[in-house]
Amino acid sequence: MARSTISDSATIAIAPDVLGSEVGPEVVMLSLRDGTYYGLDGVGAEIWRMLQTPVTIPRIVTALVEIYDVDADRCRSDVLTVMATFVERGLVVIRDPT
Amino acid sequence: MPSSLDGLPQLAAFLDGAPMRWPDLGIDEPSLLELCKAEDLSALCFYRVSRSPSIDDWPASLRNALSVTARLQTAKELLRATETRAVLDALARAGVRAILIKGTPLAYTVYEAPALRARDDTDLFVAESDIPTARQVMASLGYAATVLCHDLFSQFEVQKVDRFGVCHAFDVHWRISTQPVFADVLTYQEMLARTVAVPALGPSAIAPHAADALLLSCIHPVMHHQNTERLLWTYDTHLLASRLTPAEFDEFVRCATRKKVAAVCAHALRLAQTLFRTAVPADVIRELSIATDEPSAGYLASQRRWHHELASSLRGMPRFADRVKLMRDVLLPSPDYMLGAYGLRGKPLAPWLLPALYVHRNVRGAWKILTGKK
Repeated sequence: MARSTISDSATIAIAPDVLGSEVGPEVVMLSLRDGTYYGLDGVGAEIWRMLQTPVTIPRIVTALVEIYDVDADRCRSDVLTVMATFVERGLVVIRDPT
Repeated sequence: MPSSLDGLPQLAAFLDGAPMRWPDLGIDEPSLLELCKAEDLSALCFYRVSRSPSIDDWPASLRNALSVTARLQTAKELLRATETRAVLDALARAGVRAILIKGTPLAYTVYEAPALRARDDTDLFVAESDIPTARQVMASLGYAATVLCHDLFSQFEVQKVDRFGVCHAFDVHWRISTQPVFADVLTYQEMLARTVAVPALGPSAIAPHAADALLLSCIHPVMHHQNTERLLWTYDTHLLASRLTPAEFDEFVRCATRKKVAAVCAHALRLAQTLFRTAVPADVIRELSIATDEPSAGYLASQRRWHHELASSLRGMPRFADRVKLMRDVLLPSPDYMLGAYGLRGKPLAPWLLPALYVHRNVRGAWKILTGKK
């Protein structure tokens, strides 16, 4: 499963062939690879905003815990699940210094 | 003055960002969805609903229906922006300074998000001397002429379908209107002299100055759409007028008066005031209303039809030769246009059908005029 392969030191960024735009509270991501678009709202949209500059999983979790009333471990687990989906669909790229 | 927009002040206020609860909108869900679709307002409506403090008042089914259009429109806008940047950069490399006009620059300068300003195509304004180069550039990017590509209209239209099936259409104008009365209200050189940058669409993207943009917005429905009152277009006017400084309003009034479109501009601003409570300095409307003897004011008449526009065009042409050319283009457009219009372009025996096609076209046109369908 992709979620276990993202290390804490790895930086995650939006893939170069993915475009995104906000419309109200939502974010629409468009993959230029296959023309599929995705609507993200709430936490998903917040994660997209953080990904505008390369960021690590711990930083995303820290930021989300500050915004939402959520347990850090639970948050980390959910973020890894979301990232696994993003990776699977080619929406983000991961750069692991190790 | 009869208006197709009567009874819409609540919706207009909501679209402009006024907090509103669903029950106070005074329209049922199917009617609102139908109206949003007809007026290309679904994305804007979704945007307002989703930011409403009383979002839970709004029917979930309505929000879902609007969100589908808003997401699709946003995705298309992302593709369109990429394509527009590529086109503008290619034109610039070829030495063509294209000015973005109408909906696209407004989407990127006065709307809160580009996808909120729906549109079908991208309009460019270029120097007439650059037309051959512009055609070559568009062709090199894979664009093909549409049936409407005809010099009669002071513009050519090209389009292409990208690998995702999204159609990108560009209208390239060298005069702002097909109607002689309006054609020189803003010339390319006048507009170019004071354009503004549109950074979101790349380094080559430029758009009309605020006063010119408002002027275009005011005359657009009258000069091209028989004074059709669309909420979207009036909202454009409202957004533009709301951003004008007093000095820019002065420029706007001077230009509208000098170019003899003051009455048309006064009409558009009054409509914006009625629907969106647009803040327009009192002396602006007063000064615009002083003007008399403007041929363009005839375009404000209700129930104006195609033959009225043709008659106005003929009257507005200073040279007899131009009138003859216009009538020839109307009655006998080019064979290529005819074959395209009848879907026969490239068919081997189609040219033999041309005489019959011309007769058919003119008889059908005359019948439409006589029966009030055109």
